[in-house]
Amino acid sequence: MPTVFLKNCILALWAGFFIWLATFGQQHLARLLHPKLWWLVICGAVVLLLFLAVNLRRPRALSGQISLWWRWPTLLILVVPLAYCMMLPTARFNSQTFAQRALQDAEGGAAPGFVAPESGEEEAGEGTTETSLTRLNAEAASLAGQEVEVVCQVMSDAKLPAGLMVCYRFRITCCAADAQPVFIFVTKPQGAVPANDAWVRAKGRLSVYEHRGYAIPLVTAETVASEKEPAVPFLF
Amino acid sequence: MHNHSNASNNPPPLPLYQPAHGAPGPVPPSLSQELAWVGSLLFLAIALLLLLLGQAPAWSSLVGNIAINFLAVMVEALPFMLIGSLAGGLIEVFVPATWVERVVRQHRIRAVLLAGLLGLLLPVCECAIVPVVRRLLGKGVPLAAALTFLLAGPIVNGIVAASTAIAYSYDWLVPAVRLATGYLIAVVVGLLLGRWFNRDNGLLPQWNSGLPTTCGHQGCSHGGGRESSRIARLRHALEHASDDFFGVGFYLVIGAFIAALVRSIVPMDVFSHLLASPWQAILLMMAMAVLLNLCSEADAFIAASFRGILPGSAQMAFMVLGPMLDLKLLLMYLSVFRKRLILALAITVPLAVLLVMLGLQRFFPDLL
Repeated sequence: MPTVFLKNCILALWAGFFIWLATFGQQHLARLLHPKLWWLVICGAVVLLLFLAVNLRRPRALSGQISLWWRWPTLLILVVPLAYCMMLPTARFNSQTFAQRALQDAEGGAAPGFVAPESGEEEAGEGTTETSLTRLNAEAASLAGQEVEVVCQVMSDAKLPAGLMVCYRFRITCCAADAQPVFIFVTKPQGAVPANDAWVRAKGRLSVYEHRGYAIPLVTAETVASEKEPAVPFLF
Repeated sequence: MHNHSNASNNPPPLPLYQPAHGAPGPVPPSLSQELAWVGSLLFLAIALLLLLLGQAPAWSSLVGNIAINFLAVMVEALPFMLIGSLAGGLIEVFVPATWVERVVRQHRIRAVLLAGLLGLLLPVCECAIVPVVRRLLGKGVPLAAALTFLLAGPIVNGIVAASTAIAYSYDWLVPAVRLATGYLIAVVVGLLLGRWFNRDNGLLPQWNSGLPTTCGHQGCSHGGGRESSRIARLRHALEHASDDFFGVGFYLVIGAFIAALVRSIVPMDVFSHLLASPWQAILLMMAMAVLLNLCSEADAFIAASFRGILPGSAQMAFMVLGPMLDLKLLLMYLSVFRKRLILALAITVPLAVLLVMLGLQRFFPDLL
């Protein structure tokens, strides 16, 4: 009886979590999952509710062959991810994530890997005038000399060429676990340099900067203004 | 209560799950159950400790990263696993065991060859495939065929082919090689392990035929004439699916947690430095595939980011091994296979991938 009750509670908790993500928690879902896969969350909630419905009507005698004493740890494991939800409001990918996920060149600086062309989907972002970092990487040569506007997080590092900072975002295919950093260089603004991981909107002329054998897009910034974190921070 | 009142024309069902003497009594724990209990407690302690550490400023960034990766994998993988459980439940109730017997038991090699292509009809990723395979085994599908489907299913399917093509800028040779090598390796490993293992020495007792968790729904009705209705059978399918969720789900959580730890702690750089020779690159990418636990629909994009840095054979090794054998899958295999079979899988699959990729590198170095 307690095992059945515990199982029903777990199903209800997960169903509730999925329903919350799909409705009121979309700003959190956007930091976990590609929007094209949000249907999965709804699908998961529906299946869990179906399981809950049949389990509530299920004869008690069919469950509980193994006593609760032996089952409770494996049942409790199922709610561990829900406990980690409390980190969601503050948890963010940052320059540590960037350094950890970027390929490194021989001198320990970030090296651009192969950046596949854009998937054709709309890039998430507040403005419509910005150019995606993916496009800048894929078409740097053809866009060189043009005025561009980018929205990204910034990172300054002693390993970077003097006067430049990294402007980075993460590109996902399915979920945040497969996020790969995409970056360009931006010239540091006059005066106060934005703190690491701050979101900025940088406008300026694009060129291609040769750095340790890699061709990296560089925006010579006319303005670098602080920017609100986009609703969907990832590129696709 | 279950009973065996069948429709008169149906063949006899497999034995039904019946609680002993009508009332459920506690089953004495085995040693492996006690070890699993201790292991589960250990996992809970580590997960809780890390969560508490995350409240301290010095740890918050790292634990925040782990939390995002962990939840992202769970939010993506769990619905797939639920769908897989649902498919497994429907198979359990609606697919007659006699049909399975007729189709796959006639010729062992043909069954294996067909099983390797089943993913084209039933495109499931690796999170969903374990519950489906559990139910297929419960229905009497031969072990060799089930293993082949288990290994090939997450690779040899249209969705994976499309995502691989997109990742490689619509170079269709890449998905073609991926699907072909995935199929080849799955068939070879399926046939090989099928010679050494059978249902008795490869499967956990409850997944061998005629035991509690498989009730052979093709004829059984779970109680009364009313139960033979389609809705009642659907309800039973959902009950089986729900049991699968509780039987496999916690392995998924542990696997996702380990994957999140690895993804948050181990720098990608570790994998890209030891590139003195192609075989080293292949081995490193194989190690990365096992550790990162990425979805087979997403891993091509990670592999593609190594274009121009690693040989094509190493990228292919990553895309072929990951959907067959990663940490999360290894844990989920514990819910259906005996440890000796899991060990055999953990040896033969990487070995087969290594050999095929070395062959690819040796004979077609510029293929990718």
